[in-house]
Amino acid sequence: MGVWADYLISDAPQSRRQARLGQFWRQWLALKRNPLAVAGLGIVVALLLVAAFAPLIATHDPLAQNLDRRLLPPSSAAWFGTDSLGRDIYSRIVYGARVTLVIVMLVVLSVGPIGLLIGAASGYLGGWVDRALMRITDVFLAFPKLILALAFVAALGPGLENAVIAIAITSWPPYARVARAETLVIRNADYIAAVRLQGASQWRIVLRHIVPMCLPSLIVRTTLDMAGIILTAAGLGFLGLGAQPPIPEWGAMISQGREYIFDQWWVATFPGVAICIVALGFNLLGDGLRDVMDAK
Amino acid sequence: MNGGPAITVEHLNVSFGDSHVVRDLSFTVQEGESYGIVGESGSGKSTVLRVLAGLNRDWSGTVTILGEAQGPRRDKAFHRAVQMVFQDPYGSLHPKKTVDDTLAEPLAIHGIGDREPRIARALKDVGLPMAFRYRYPHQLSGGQRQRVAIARALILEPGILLLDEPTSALDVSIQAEVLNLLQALRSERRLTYILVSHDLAVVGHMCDRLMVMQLGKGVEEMQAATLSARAPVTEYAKELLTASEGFRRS
Repeated sequence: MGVWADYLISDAPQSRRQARLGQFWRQWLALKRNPLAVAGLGIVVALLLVAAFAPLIATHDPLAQNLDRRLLPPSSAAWFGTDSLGRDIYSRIVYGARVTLVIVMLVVLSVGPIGLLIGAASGYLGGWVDRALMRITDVFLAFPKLILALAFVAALGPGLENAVIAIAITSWPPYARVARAETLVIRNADYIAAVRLQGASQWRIVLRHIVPMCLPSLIVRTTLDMAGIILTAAGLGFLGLGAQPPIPEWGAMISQGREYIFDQWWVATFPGVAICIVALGFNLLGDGLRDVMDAK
Repeated sequence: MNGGPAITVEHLNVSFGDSHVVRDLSFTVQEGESYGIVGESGSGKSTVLRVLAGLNRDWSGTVTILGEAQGPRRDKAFHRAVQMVFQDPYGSLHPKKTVDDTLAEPLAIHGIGDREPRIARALKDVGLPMAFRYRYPHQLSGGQRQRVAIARALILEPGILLLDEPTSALDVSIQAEVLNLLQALRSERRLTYILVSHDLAVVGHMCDRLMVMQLGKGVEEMQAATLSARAPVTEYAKELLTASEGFRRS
């Protein structure tokens, strides 16, 4: 352990990799000092583990119906009770973690790069490029996110993939805005003037010098946004436009439980609690990351 | 002096909106010469440097560098011949890049091979130990950062170095070190310098000739000897000289 710590904290790193690992290590040490952020990280890691080992963690088949055992309250046989088709809610929530994770990952992987690139190009190039890109961004920002997503899903047809596409299309503009604001601050810095003076092309400057500077605030923003993405996905699922039955998506599960909310409270409550905990986890982690990454 | 002008500026005018920052400025710098531009803040001296470097594209007049008339855009050959060191070493190094990345970037842009020995030599030339190679800027002091900035400017082996107040952000003991380093590099590589400063002592120490600027105009051009003999001709240059001697109890 001591050897590793020395390697990581060394102020005379011997290689590119050591320098980079050292940087990560310092950020991790800073994150570790914040108990709330660690709690958030714990929740996110737990979500990842649950999704990865769902078959081992679940007690039942999430899709197996048993109409003899419908709407049973939580018990030792069915920990979170059963739903209107007699499916085990606990197992469905465990498998639902996979669905949630897939949605979040797909949205983040498509939204982050698009927003970052549009924002950085817009901010750095300025002029008509900036005006055109920002007006497009304004158009998307003018609609409430969920309403626009609804419109897209209605046009594309309901389903998990279309829900992801709709959420992605509606959530990139704020990222572009953040990246642009950041870029406007950076573009006149001397270190950008220095690479311009070395004869770097505009794309090189944007991709290799401006994007790395925008990345931390974007990562933080993404993490904080994950909760919103989960909620939008759940909202679409609740309205029947997201994941289609019998996929165990948390929002759709709440929607199904709505009819029984007064007599069989557990059907809607447990998926709701799951959404709440995961959203909270991402928020806490995002807050912690902001403190760590903006530190410099 | 090798003879032949390295930089010729004729009737340079620069305006930012309504303010006319540089007015009809002309001067010539010989190859191998060290030329100073002094003036108070706001006199337009840094703007002249940014025009020469191609960082400022809105200007009129004639700028000839190494025999080539320069337009607002510059080509790769220009960037290999002319480099610049900025005033604030805390702002001129990319905070997310190690010293190694910073020095490798100009080589990558110009497609220059054998980076390893070049980077090692660049560090050695500016007196930085190899242990600093993979450090981030926040792990360096101001003087060390400025050395990295100088190494970055010299790694393309330019003939002309533009120095924008290279020491004014450093504390006094480090200033002398960096100035001596710049002097040594100049005599070693026969570089042409244009040094912009508000500090007459620095310019007197570093330059052969200098120009005094006031409100965008060249007020007086003189030899460094004239400065050290305290014999400038114009009123403004005299005032500046007196002011540079500091506060005196009368």
